[in-house]
Amino acid sequence: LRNTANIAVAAMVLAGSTLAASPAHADIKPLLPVICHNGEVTTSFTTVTADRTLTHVRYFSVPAGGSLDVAKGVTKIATITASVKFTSDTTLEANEVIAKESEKVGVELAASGSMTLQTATNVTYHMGPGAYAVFAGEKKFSGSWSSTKCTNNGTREAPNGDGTAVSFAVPGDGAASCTGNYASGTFEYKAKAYGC
Amino acid sequence: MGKPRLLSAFVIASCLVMAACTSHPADSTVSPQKTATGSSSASSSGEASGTAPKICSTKLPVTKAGMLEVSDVWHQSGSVFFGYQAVALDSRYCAHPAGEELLSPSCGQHFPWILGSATNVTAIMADAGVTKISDGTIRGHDVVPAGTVIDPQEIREKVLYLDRQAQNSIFARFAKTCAKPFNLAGVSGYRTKIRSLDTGKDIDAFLVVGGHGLIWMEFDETGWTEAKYPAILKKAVQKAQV
Repeated sequence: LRNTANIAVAAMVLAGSTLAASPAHADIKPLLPVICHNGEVTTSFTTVTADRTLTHVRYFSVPAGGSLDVAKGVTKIATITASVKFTSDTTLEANEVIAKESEKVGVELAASGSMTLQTATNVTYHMGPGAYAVFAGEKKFSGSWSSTKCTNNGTREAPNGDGTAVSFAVPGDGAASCTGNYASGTFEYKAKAYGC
Repeated sequence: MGKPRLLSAFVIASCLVMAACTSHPADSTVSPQKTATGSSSASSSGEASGTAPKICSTKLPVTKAGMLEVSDVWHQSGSVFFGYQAVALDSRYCAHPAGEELLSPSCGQHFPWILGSATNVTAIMADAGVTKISDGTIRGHDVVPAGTVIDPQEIREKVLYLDRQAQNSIFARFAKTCAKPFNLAGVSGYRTKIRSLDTGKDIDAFLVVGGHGLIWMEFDETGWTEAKYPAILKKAVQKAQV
């Protein structure tokens, strides 16, 4: 109601000034239509892609008759850093952009500045005999965003910056069998290719 | 002022687990797991007072308790993947949208179909009785003949624990608008289709409405059949005990 009221007030002010001035002023500017809520910032992602990214991988071999419950010292191979790039001026803060990216993909994303684990990790899972690429990873979301801000009493949507953003979702651990034939692009395919 | 109105602003359907949305001035209870640096800006009235911080959303130690595990779904999977997170909500310390009242769902948004800023969504969920949210992702596959290309399947699970009857919650009410009722093997709730960011295709999603909790499940990747759902839903209910 408040925003609607603002628009209504803005429209009445513009309409009122036009009516009062029109008989005597032929050069008055035409009345601009109200198209948005004055001051409101609208931010959207035009594209977002999800890429399963490994951050840790290590090869483990479990001999016949044996088993492994904790794969220790799974080595870091990559880092994802959540970040936002601004290619033009904006009133937005980085985490406001990340929040919009989270909205777009429907999953919780790490705050700007967050990094994936920087040390080796342990993966707890019961594995029987076989060869494995034990790994840790998460989905990395990359996207392009743009923003506008409503100005001029709701009659103009002015550019409010654009850029790109990267973040990542819930981290996870896993193990891929070195004898498996995995579909490309999957965590398992990447882990096998790197670790086996 | 004071009259109910629809929320407007940004939309974050599920910004409740990672610190991007809510926050932790003192992160002492956070299990760092895979995130070296966590969070973030303050949510609402999360500033410390005295010795106990007043925090709307607090990360809990990572646990798979109450959640589906790979072996629950794929009994002899040759590969596995699993990740879990959980937060506790305390409505006393959430930023309550003054004069706001949620009247209707936004079915175009992700579950729980709430339109509002991240802070508002958190507060709304806390107001709706949510005291804890657990998230889990598992991946695995059925046994296949040697040489067959394996395309693992994925389940994303979100369990909302409530301090009141789930059937009367806004989530169940919204589901009546945004999804269709189902009853499979004695498990009932609502189901709908959502777009997978992985495959670019529509996938099945279910909302199980329990006594004092709800379970939202997304079945991603290919190869799912109707015959597989009942046992998995039943197992999820059994484990979550909602």
